[in-house]
Amino acid sequence: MFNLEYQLGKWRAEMAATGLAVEILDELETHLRDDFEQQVRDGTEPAEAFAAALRRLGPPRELSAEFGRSGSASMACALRRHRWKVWLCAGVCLLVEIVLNVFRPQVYVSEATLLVQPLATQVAASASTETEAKRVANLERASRILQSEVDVLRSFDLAKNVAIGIRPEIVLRLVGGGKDPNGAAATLQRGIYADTSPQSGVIRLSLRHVDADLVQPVLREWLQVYAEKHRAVHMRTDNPAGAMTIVVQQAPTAPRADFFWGERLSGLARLTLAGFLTGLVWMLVAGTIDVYLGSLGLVVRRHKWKFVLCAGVGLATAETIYALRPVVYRSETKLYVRYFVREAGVLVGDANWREPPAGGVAIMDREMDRLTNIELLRQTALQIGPERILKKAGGGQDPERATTVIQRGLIVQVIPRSSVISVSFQHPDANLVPPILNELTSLYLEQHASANRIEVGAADPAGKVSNISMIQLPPPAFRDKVKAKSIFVQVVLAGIMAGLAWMVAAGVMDRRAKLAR
Amino acid sequence: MRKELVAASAEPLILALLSEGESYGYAIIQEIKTRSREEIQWTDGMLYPVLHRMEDNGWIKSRWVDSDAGRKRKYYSICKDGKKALETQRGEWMAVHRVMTSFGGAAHV
Repeated sequence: MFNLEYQLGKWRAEMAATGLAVEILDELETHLRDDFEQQVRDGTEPAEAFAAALRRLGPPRELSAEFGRSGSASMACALRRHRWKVWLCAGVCLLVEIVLNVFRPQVYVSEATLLVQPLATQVAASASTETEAKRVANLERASRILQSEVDVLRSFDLAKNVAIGIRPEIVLRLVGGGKDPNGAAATLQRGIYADTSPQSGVIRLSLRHVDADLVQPVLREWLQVYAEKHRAVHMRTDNPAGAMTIVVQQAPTAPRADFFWGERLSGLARLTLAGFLTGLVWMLVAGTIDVYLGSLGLVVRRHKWKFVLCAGVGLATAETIYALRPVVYRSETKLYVRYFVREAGVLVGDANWREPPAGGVAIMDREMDRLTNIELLRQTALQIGPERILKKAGGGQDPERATTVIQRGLIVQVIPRSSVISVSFQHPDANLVPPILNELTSLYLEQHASANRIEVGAADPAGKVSNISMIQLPPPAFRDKVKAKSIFVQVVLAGIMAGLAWMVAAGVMDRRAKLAR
Repeated sequence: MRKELVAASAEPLILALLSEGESYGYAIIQEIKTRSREEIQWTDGMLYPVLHRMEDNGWIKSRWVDSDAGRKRKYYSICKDGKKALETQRGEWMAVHRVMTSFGGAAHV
């Protein structure tokens, strides 16, 4: 009894041994089937018909030689066949980028320059007279000082004072309106940029905003408020850094359109390149499937709904998890630590100005210990009221449990390579987050001040004075999405992978079932 | 027909056939056989390497199609470059044909 599938399988094995690509084998197999069926319809015996079909096709070795180096050649042609995918991806990305650029609102910018006096002269002087090591140390110190001023310049409470000075409704005129000083401050804070040059002791400040009439007056107000603040901190008689003066080297410039073709073009090129690369990968994958999997690619494509289904289920699951997840709100405040050395009661100038962590890791640690002190947390809990804190955590009036809630939500850390301590607090109750953070920091500042007064006044008259100021008031709590996003991405990815695996598995099973038949 | 001539005429014939619409290997062979009144008989195996070379040249392109019988067929269709190649080759064949007929003896052609 003639078995077509068995004979075909034998023939395929022989052909495959000559190194022909699967895609070619699939095509030739279809040809054999067509020829065989036609002959059988015309009345030829099956065995005879198959032998004739094989004869007409020619011996495997000769056929393979005819195809030459068909492996690489057919890969090249498969790639050529799929090259439109590259152009499609790159084109779509280019189009998206162009559309985004067209609809991007015009932003205006005003710029100003500040000169930090002693730094500028000190660094310049040390460049010629002092050793390399000393010069590097000087530069490092200068950059730390400049960075601390930048922190103050970009602080939320400075932005808020400016917003109030300009009037919030004017600030928000072109960005949705409203009278909320916090919203106005946040808008301004987003637009302020500062960069420093330790070599020259210069801080370049720029403000970007969609309102052309606003950028220059706001920046002027900004410098005004900063100067007052700076004076309040630096010009106090007991403060040795009072010696540091900061002058406005260049007043806020007239507004100009902020339109960096270079920046935009590089963004354009980046996105288009990304699209191009995506298309390239797509082309390679599609070409490889064609050449090495042959018509299996077609079978797999028939099962693509499985892939779509799994990806969809993954997306839906991720969306559900995201929606069901308890919402956590977070707010953050920053404390700036200034640390001076006083020698034998004599205030030495700027030269002995030290900043943690360079000179005071111990000081930063001590302040962090104070901030996380359980007694401080308990006092905070009592001030806010345990009942209010525990409302969303099962209720009750137990101050110990309220303290634990505060402890769990509190994150205190030193921002690396700076003298700033970041204090953040997270909790499911948005209305509770800023008051707790406010209460905690103000209690801390009181204790800190009294602790340091004792240290200075009695035990250690020639000792250290730390001066801590809050450079960012707790902004309204915002929803903490970062963690949820990673879970979201993971679930969606899992769905996609499962779909891919199912699709390929189903395709392979189909093919195997057909061959077995 | 001599083997050399069959091989040389394969490309223009395939291009001419595909310029009328897409087709697959077995059907191409049958169509050429019918149109030549069985005078041109290709070794079936020879057609496929030619098709693949022409595809590498960018003259034709292919796609897999699921047929009604559940069989997968590779269909070929002509590209812009293929149409240009067809015109060139047609011109060459016609030139040979003109010279041949100018010598007479084949008045019925």
